[in-house]
Amino acid sequence: MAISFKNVGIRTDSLGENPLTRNRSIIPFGIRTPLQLSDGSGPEIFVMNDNLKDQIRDNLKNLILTNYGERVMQYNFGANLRPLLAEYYNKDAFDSEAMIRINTAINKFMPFIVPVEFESVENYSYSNKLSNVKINITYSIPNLQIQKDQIQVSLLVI
Amino acid sequence: MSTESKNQILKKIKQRKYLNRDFDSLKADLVEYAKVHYPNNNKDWSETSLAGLLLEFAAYVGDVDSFYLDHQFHELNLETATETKNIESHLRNAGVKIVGSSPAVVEQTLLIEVPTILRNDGQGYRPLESAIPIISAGSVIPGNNGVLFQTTDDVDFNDLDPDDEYIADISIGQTDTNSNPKTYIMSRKAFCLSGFLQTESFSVGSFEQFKTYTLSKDNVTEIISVTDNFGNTYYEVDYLTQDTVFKRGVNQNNDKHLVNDLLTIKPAPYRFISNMDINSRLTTLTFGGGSAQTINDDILPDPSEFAVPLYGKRTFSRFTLNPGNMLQTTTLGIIAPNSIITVEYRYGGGLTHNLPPGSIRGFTTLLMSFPNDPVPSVAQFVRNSADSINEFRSSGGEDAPTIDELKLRAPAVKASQGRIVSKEDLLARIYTMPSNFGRVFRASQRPNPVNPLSTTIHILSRDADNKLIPSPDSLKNNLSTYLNQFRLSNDAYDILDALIVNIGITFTIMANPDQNKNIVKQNVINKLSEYFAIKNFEIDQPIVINDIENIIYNNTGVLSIVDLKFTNINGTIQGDPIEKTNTRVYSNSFYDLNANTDKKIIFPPGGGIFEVRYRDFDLQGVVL
Repeated sequence: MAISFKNVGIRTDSLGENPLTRNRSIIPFGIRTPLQLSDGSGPEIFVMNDNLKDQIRDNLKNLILTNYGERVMQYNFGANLRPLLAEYYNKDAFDSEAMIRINTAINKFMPFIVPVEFESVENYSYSNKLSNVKINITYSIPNLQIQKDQIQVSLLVI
Repeated sequence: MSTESKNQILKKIKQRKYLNRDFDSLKADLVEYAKVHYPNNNKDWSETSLAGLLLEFAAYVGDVDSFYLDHQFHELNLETATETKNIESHLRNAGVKIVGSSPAVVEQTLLIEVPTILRNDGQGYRPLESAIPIISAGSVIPGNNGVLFQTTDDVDFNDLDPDDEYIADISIGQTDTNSNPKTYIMSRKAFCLSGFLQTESFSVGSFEQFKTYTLSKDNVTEIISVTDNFGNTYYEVDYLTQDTVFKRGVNQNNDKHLVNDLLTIKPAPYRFISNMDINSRLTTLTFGGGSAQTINDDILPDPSEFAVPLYGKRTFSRFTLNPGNMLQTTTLGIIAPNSIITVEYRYGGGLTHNLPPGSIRGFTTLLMSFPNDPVPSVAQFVRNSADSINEFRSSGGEDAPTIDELKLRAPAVKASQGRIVSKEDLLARIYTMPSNFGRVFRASQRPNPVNPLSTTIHILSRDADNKLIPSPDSLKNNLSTYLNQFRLSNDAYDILDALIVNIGITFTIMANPDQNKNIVKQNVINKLSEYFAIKNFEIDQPIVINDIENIIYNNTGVLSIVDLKFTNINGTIQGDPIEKTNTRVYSNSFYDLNANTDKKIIFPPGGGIFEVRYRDFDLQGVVL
């Protein structure tokens, strides 16, 4: 009597061959955002951050771009900059409040980061008649001896 | 894989926990689980990372599921349920009737002025009979805050008592120059209910099982009538399986002054139930599930009608049937297809309907008729004279009970039941029969000594002077009809008159010399009078002689009891014009008190009650 191979299953000792549990030479820190599919050369589905610096930069960017209420069950997660953009009329006032909010969010969710500099630039697009604000944040991570790394986030004035 | 590694994997799998309920604990466990099982895929599970975000999504779903599960369990219990639909369902299952605001009831004095006529014997005047009207139920009386009250019963000013005197109170109205009465003012009491009347109609198309119709007004307090254009009357029942209703009719027997109405059972093939929505307080009527076009005489469907005839066959195949056909009988009530149903109901109520004395006056709508055809001018005079006033405040108006209040009623309603099982059930049913059908003052129950399957009920009533009398026959008939609907099928009740044993007490006491003897005697009589007040006595209640002695001793100035005698008084004792005493009528029961005294306790006859009927005469004492 013939037995179908479908009935065989896999041995527990072959679990090591599972891509998700396969040992790697470099263990990724996290998924890089925005999500990108990997080129297939590695075991991962998505492109991953292979070093801590990139992972922290990714996380910081996402933290600053998140507004209150966007995160399930964590209403106060994020820097909540969007409401500021809704009443953007004075650069100095915006900068002052944005810095406070970013600093608060970093202290609360990524306290190992030390924000160093803040800079905002407003751009007006005549083609689609929209303004956006680019914010450059320079920060250090003393524990990792990272000095003055920088991220830029772009926010649309609404 | 080595055995050690296999055990490690199994250990890890066993680390799954199923006790986490909330977001934080689920998230913590998911992070722990991810760190253990996927250490080589991702290192950063913090909340700022994308992986952390995805775990939080999963924890969120778990949290919602837990909440939903908790919520559903809470909704299974009336005490913890929060959704009004579920509370409503629990309340209905518990038997709690959801009601809106309640109307107020008031005893209104109705007044009319009628011309007089000289008596036939020329001795004085009497009201002109043809001018005496009936004020019909439905007459509307306004309150001073705009609330309307409506008379619930016809008030016939022609009614006479057993002595052929008018039941209405009569006083002199206008007089002529010789001070002879020109008009009499007649007054009678009538009960009125507050609220507003509304009539609505709706059409029924082709047959529709359990048709529902929602009345447009909220807080409906009473559905007065439901009729269709074919003349059918629909009766309200508690459940559609109830196929009969109590119906009251006017008592024309000799005891009509004691029992206003007769109670009868009426079949109700056309019937409906009403339910009030707990939020909107709108009432929905649900009619029967059968069609009037298929009405038959069967109360229950005849199973033989469903038998399949076997014409010339010895075998038959399996077949299907529609159980819905069973519904098209009178079992769950019927409704007339292609008809127009008219509903008349009363709605409205609340605390604002409780008004002080004198604030409900006159008539807004006066439904007056004259059974003896007076001349139009006299009828108009009487009609114009009609007035009404409330001597006492209207009461009973209540705002709609809140959901919490309704929930609190559920345990009490659950404990009650609609049938008679225990002695307490029986007595509660007897005492709660609506008073229109006669009022039982005392009732007792004891096994029938002859028939072990029967129970004997002894009842009695009170007359207008609060003296005990045998209950009128109409009351017993009404009680029989009433109890019959609640008794178990193999229970039997014999309703008998309780034996009234009138007693007198004579005491001789020694008083303290420094006390006024008359005052001591009067104090003792007053105390005995209080003790023997009929409200304190039940059927089959014995008299403990020591209690009486104790009452006497507990009066200031009583030194000793020289003598204490109990006597049975019966028959009629004529009044004495010299002594200025009225005739006293006692029960005709002869009862030997001495023979029924044991260990200083006087026992009444089975199903009997002791009564001190005329306290001024039956309690006598001598003070030495």
